[in-house]
Amino acid sequence: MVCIRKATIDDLLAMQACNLFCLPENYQMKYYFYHILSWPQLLYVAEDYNGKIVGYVLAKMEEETSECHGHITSLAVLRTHRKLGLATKLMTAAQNAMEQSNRAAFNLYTETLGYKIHDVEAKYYADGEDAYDMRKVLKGKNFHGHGGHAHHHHGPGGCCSGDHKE
Amino acid sequence: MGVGRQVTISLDGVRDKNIMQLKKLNSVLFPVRYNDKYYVDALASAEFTKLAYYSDICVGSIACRLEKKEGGAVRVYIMTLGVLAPYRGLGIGTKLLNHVIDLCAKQNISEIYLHVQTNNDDAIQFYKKFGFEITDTIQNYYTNITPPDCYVVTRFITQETKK
Amino acid sequence: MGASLPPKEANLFKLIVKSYETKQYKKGLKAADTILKKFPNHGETLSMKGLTLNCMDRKSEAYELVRLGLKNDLKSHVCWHVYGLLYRSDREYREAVKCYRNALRIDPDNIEILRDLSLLQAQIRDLAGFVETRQQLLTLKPNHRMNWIGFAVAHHLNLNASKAIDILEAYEGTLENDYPPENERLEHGEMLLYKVSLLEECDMVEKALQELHKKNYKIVDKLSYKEVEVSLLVKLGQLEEGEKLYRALLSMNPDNYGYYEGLQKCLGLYSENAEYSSSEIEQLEALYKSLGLQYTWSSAVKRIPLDFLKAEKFREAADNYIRPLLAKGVPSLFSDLSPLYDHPEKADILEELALEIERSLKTNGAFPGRVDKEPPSTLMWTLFYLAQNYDRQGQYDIALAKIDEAIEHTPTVIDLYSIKSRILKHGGDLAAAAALADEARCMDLADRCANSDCVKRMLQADQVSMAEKTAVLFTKDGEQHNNLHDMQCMWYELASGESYFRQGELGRALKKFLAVEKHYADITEDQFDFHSYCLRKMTLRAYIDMLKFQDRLHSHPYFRKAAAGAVRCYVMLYDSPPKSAVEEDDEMAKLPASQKKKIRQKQRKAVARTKKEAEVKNEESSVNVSKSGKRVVKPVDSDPYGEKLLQVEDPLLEATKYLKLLQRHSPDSLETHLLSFEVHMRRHKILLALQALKQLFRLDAENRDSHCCLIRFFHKVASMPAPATDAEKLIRSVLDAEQPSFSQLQGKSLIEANYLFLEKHKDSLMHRAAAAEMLYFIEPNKKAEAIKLIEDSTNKLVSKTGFYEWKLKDCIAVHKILGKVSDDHEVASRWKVRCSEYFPYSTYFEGCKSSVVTRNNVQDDPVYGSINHQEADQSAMPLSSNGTLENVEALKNLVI
Repeated sequence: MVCIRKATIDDLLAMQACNLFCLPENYQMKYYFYHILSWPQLLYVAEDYNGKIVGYVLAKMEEETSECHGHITSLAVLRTHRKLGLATKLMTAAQNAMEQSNRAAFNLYTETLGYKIHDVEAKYYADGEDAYDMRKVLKGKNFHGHGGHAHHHHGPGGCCSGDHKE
Repeated sequence: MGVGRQVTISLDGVRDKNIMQLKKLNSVLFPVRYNDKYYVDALASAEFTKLAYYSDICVGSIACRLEKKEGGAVRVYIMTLGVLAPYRGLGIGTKLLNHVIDLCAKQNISEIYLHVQTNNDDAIQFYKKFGFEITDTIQNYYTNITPPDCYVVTRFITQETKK
Repeated sequence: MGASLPPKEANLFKLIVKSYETKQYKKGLKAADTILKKFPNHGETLSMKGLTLNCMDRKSEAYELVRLGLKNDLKSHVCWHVYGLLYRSDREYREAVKCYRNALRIDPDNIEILRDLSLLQAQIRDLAGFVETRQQLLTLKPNHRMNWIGFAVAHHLNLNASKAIDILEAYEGTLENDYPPENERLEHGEMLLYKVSLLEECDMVEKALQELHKKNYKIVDKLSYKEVEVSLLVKLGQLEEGEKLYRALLSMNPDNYGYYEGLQKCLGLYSENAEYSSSEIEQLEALYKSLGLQYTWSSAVKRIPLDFLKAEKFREAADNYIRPLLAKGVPSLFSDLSPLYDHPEKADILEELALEIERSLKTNGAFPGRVDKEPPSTLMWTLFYLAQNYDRQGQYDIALAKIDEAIEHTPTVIDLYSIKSRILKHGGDLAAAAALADEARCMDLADRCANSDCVKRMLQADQVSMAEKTAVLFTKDGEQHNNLHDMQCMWYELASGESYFRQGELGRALKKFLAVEKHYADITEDQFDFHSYCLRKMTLRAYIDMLKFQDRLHSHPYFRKAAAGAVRCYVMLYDSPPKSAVEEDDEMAKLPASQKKKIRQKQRKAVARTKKEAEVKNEESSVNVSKSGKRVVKPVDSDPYGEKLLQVEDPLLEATKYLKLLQRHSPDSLETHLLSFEVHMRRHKILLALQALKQLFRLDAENRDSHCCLIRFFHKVASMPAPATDAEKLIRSVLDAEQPSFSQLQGKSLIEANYLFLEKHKDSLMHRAAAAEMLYFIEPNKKAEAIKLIEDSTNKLVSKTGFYEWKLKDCIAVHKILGKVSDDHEVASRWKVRCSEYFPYSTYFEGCKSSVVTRNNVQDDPVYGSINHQEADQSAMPLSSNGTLENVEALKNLVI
């Protein structure tokens, strides 16, 4: 039904469109560039049979501290494509990628996701299926839902890049 | 059911954001249109008003109003209870009603009541199964349906029924 | 730096620089002023003060000071560098490069300036210059990893990948054997993968594979490793190895269609167009059967066989595929299967299957041939599927019947309303479609998808202000509307631009289109910071991909739509310039007094409203000063209606700006050259118009628009006066030389060519209409014949089920052509009546089932009606003080 694959640079505009269509937390293109140019292996998309991007996950590594953390910045699935377990599949893919590229034990923190899960549980996932799968993934892998959804556009700093809008 | 597939039935609260689901249900389940007060009361009752989900589809609801009796005690009035026709017989109505009864027990509320048209035997039988009894009859309660009379059906929750 | 200053001031100067770098602008400003008190003409201090002010949004002062500083100290590389940085901040890259070069003339080995120069060269793709600068940097600081990598990347970009490989190998030669340390492994691995990709690019595939294997243990990203490895293996024809690897990849992610495709290729079972021999189909079937046993959770293994299976085998597989998904209630099932509808026999089978399921569920609640009951929702999802099936076939009547049945079954499912909205849209009832989408939205106000869907439909129905009010429900509080713009919500801006254009509001349309164009300029600018960032991060493969992506950015469909929209606006502006006040007064004078008063009142109100809005906004935009000293000014839109955009001297010249981008980035789009033709015909640039015409014929010589352009062009050529000047003679000679290249015109008059075109395409409505339009254009006295040509077109039945060939969009276009050809009202209305039969849901043709006639779907029902919730109907309320009625009927049926 839906292909789960690593995102390429050509997917970014469609990912942004998907995000704007279904989530309240939005980002400018530069933030997507920042992600793919920092952790190219941690962006995944769900592409339907007609080539349309119907979901994505945007993950990152928190490298500042000595211990390596995984972070889910944003996870989206169009409501027309719910009930396919796409959120779970996307999460699993991003998580496998982190494990593949990281030797140390890590914790996966979530920002938007924590918020999203609450929302999701309350709404159309009332059958508990997807929400349950997601919780399973979260529990098994030390996710910590932040509940909040703070996000920052901390792109690479250039001396004159102060004009970047939040 | 299909092979090995048990469909989950779950309850969810009513909020500003999804109140249209309750309105949709009411518009097909009941022959009247409820006024704003109904929905304000339903929202105010918080946990006492619930939508029932079959898988991820909203198929039924119970809507209550909390009333203050003289002396300050609270009682619960069931405004509506209904399940979409194709989804009846699956225990959804029972689940909704039990939710309200259990909640009353937890919150030390001792009385739940509602009105039932006098000729509605099925409904009376249904409520009797849950320990409700006819406590009063009101003449000419309804304006444009016959018979116009209704029973007041009440369940008193005593200490013993509390778990 | 600051060399000419005494020690105390020299220290202060250092503080300015440091404050600038750490964005503590206020502090820097203070230090600068302290120096300037003693040395008011100190050039470098003036420059730095200017640069600091630039970051505090005081642009004009900044330029003044920086220029003054430079004038006072022309020999200072600092002053030149600062001037360059200032230009760079305004995206004036070429000016900035000049300044940096001047700075380097004074201080040729200044690393910082060289680095800044290299960034600019990468940004403007001055690749030769980039290589040169990167070489200088490496020579100056060969012990920096980044300089090696930067030099290699520069060569790669400058199309010298083999040189890049040499540099990377030389760099590796400088490393110790136990490199990299633990914390640099990921970066080093990325560099190695980059090197492998370079080898592959140089067609050294074998060497690439060797290198990959040799460095295996140093490459951290194992997934990329495997993906690269498998593609190299396949390139080298080592298919057995490839097969193994693809199977390994599939076990990691059995939902990646690319892996299945790769596996098929390794097994010699892949065809581009999915055409297979029967023995191949058997092998594929067996393959997917075995994969299915391995990857039970994968939906891909079940879906892919539907592409290659045929007839009975297809029916069986499709049946097995759809049943569990209907039972589960997967809303995207139809969209998933829709590509199969391109094959008529598969479409028929799918429809039959769904109908059988519907029948069986209705009679005994189970799937055909089964006894186990399915969940009650299965029937609803089957009806939902069927509605989309019929919608796809253009049978809107049946589609609506099915979806209504589904809604009656379970009225709380949002998807049903969204699909009903889509069917109505396809049927041509945009207002009803918007109302339905709004109904869907109201059922879950927390769902932005439903909100966006609704906004889209409202814009299609030209309800722009409603759409805006609805859209902002999901943007951050405060500056609501701007948030959509700040977040680059392009689909919204494009859709509202299109709507404004349809409504003739050119200013507002232009504003939206140009906003999208601006987003693309910003996205281009976005890459700047990454030129140095990626060299540090070593994400080189992604970086190169990003640069290539940027090079083709403007060919993206959103940009194409925005640029084309802007060009159309300018053309329309040229054709019908906004009326001057005098003309408007003239028109007003013709109106009866009562109407005049109404219009004037309306105008006054509009003006007052705008004023008030502006005042409110001004209040909101009170200036805040943040900690860093940067003033945060909330921008006030001084031109909400885009009126200033309309006050261009020469709209066509403005249009050519965007036209050039279209020509460069979308040369294979018919629209590009159609617009180019329209613009240049109007500008009397006959050779440019000819160029556009030739492009149109290159892309599609049989297209109706190409034909119209051909006729119009040579009609114009024929009417040109005999050439007088040398330039005119030259043009004429080019035209004479080019005309024979259009075979359509060889030895034929325009009118003959037109008849020939008609003969060739006599079965196509749109081609007939084009021929008719051109007939009337060449010989206006043949109006009757032209009309007859159109009216004699026949709308054929395409399938057994009564669905017609003509498209609604085309019929609307033809209606407009008829309006142009004939001023006789009767003609257009005859067409309208005829089309209202074909398109009963079309509001344009006032079809009998459309909302303009029935008012069915757009009533303001307080239950479903959304934004304005009204008092509910109380007529049926009981006499009780409770004010509510316990339901009786429903409980009667309630069987628990």
